[in-house]
Amino acid sequence: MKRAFRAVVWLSCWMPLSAQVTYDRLLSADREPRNWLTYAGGYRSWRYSALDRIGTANAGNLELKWVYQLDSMDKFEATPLVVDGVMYFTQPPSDVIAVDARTGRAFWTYRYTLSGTVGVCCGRDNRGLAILGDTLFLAALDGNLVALDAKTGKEVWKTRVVDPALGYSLTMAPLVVKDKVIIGPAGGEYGIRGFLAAFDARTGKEVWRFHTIPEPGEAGHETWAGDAWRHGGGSVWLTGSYDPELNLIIQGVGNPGPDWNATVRPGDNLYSSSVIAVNADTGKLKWHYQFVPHDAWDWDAMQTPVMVDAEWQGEARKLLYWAHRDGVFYVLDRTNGKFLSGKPFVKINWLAGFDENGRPKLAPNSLPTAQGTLIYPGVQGGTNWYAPSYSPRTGLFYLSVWADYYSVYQEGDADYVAGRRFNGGNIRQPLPFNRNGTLLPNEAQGYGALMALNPKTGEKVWQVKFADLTEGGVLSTAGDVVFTGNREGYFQAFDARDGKLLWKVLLGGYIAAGPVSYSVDGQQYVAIAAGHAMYVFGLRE
Amino acid sequence: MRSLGVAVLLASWAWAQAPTERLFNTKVDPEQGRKLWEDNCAVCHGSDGKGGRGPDLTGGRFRHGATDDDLYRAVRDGIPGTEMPGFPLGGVDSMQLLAFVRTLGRSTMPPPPEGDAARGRALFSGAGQCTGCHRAGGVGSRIGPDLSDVGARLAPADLLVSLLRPDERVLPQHWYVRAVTRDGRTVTGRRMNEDTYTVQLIDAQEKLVSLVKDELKEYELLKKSAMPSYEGKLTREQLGDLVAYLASLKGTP
Repeated sequence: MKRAFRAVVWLSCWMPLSAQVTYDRLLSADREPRNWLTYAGGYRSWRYSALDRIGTANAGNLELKWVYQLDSMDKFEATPLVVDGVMYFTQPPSDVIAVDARTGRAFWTYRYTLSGTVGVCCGRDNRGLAILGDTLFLAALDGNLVALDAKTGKEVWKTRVVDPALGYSLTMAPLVVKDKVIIGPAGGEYGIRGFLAAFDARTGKEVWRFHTIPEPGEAGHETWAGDAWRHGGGSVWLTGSYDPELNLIIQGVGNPGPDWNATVRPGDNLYSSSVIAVNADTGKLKWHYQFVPHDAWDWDAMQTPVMVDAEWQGEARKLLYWAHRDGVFYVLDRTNGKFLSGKPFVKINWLAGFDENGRPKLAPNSLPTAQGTLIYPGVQGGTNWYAPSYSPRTGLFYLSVWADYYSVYQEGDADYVAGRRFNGGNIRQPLPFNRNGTLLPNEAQGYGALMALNPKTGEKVWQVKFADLTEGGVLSTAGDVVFTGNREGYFQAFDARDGKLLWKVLLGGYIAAGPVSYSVDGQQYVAIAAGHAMYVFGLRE
Repeated sequence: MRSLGVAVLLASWAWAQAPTERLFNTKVDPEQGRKLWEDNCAVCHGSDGKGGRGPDLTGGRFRHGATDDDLYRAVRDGIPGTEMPGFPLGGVDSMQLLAFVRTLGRSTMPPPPEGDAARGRALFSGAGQCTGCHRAGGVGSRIGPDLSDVGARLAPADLLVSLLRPDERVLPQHWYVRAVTRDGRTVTGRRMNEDTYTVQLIDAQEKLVSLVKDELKEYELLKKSAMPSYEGKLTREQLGDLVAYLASLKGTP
């Protein structure tokens, strides 16, 4: 019965009229590679496209097909969705645009007016949308979850989720599971108390909420002292993954607050800087693993959880690959959160190994002090929210890294004032976070790179160094091509097997988004947000 | 080609050169570094770093690691198996000390004689031939670093070191590029911008040149100064005059 239903869905994908994006289609998104139906290209979050028209032999023939210029000067971090020939993307802070995926011509624009100034640590960002049926879901910066008619861009419902006056904001692409829309708030630098919540896709009504910082009476609260939990952070600003067999949403949780003054919050500070697995129907916690107990460096677990079923030391297992901001590549068992391995992929000096339960052991003298403590990796991490990719063809895990740089972490005052920054200290480092105009790289201060890891061993297989740092997401394809952009503004195609440069183009603006691939009428396209425009490339015909 | 091939030691050395450069947004304070050295290190390594109970550190070679992190850890934790103990300095103090350690063994100059800035100015654009490479107040060549505010950036003693030991005062932003094109032409110039695939520079003829690295036979970053030493070329009085003039260049407020 189910198979027959799927066959109908499968057939309908090839019909000229766009069909509704059912939950079944989301479940098998990887079987319709002409579309890009979720933030990370499917529930396993591989950012892998089964399209292979563009391959290592012809990637050099890629050419520009269209550009869509934004009228926003905010940082463009969005991953587009592509549904049956229509591309949907967000324009920061919180507009939505629907365009013809073949020509780039717009069908409609939804303009969202912010209710006021929103305090954000790192830009008025939005990373994308979710879709179910004919409805798009937008987490708007100032705290509203909005449902839009995908055909017209008209609002279907709008739900107030958080209050920006208290430092909360929404920047992530929602995750749709069954009939629910899953989001959480940003604001880890503003003394928020985070959560992951599910909303009814038809009504916008909240269905469940999991507090990432447990209150008195909730499990995990004992890892907090006094009232520190009230402003304990634990933001959720990047889309998680979903395992339908386990019915678990796998989600990273942000840093504890205040960031660098950990003395005011003794304890492990669960579930900050952790991965949590919650039941998709109830929001009940199944398991957690804390990458950084008592995090004092702002190393939140805002990385895309990559789920792979593979053999691990001779046994078939449901694995979770996680390249963490703390500079370590982790492999966990995603049925129970059991730690299987953790290997640094950049220079780090905070870790003295793991105990028998996989709990990290802190190297001595690693905590911030008033005078400052020099720690690798620096505050932006060995990697960060930049989307990684996994290719089942090469078996490699691709990611953007910031290698071999440090920050001096200084502990400072940590007085909570509602809606204000709650950092509890300061960061100093020789590597400039941002460059003004020109770039004079000095590799001794650290560098950016695209790295290919063997997830079975955590070993680096190849690496391409860039002159500047990189915040580009990564896409791998069945043509054995890996696409990524960087802060220099280059969008590039590399051979997935050895990192050989196949093609590049200078797009003239900072790239801080992940590419996607899709096809229309048999032509394969690759799209990337760069500077303040969406660029789409395809093979010369 | 993609790798700049910069040794960690060299670059952080160059980085530590400039007393007014900012060290993680903190002004490097050589006096603070020297004070920490005198209080903690000189008893074993000597006031001048030439060694005693502890090894000579003036050669710029460190047996237990030479990166910032290595030195920081050696200071903080000590070196196991040696007599070197750890010192409970904070990160910023450690970095000030580290900046000082990296200056050990390099030239120290007696302060230049009091000079006459007006005579120095004449020397700058005349016999000293400084304007052949440098520019100050809109006059002179653009090949070398603009010196219009050098007096606000460097103390007189450091200006003198720059004149006599120019290699000791090169900042990464003043590194030169030397490239050989496919047709065998050598291009040298001051780096203005660089990315993974290209580099932009100003050459000896003040031409703005952009090179694609893939199209080059050779490409290297020169981390030494292109300036000749003025040792023996100017009298002590002339040096004093020149330093007085340079010290008067404070830029436009």
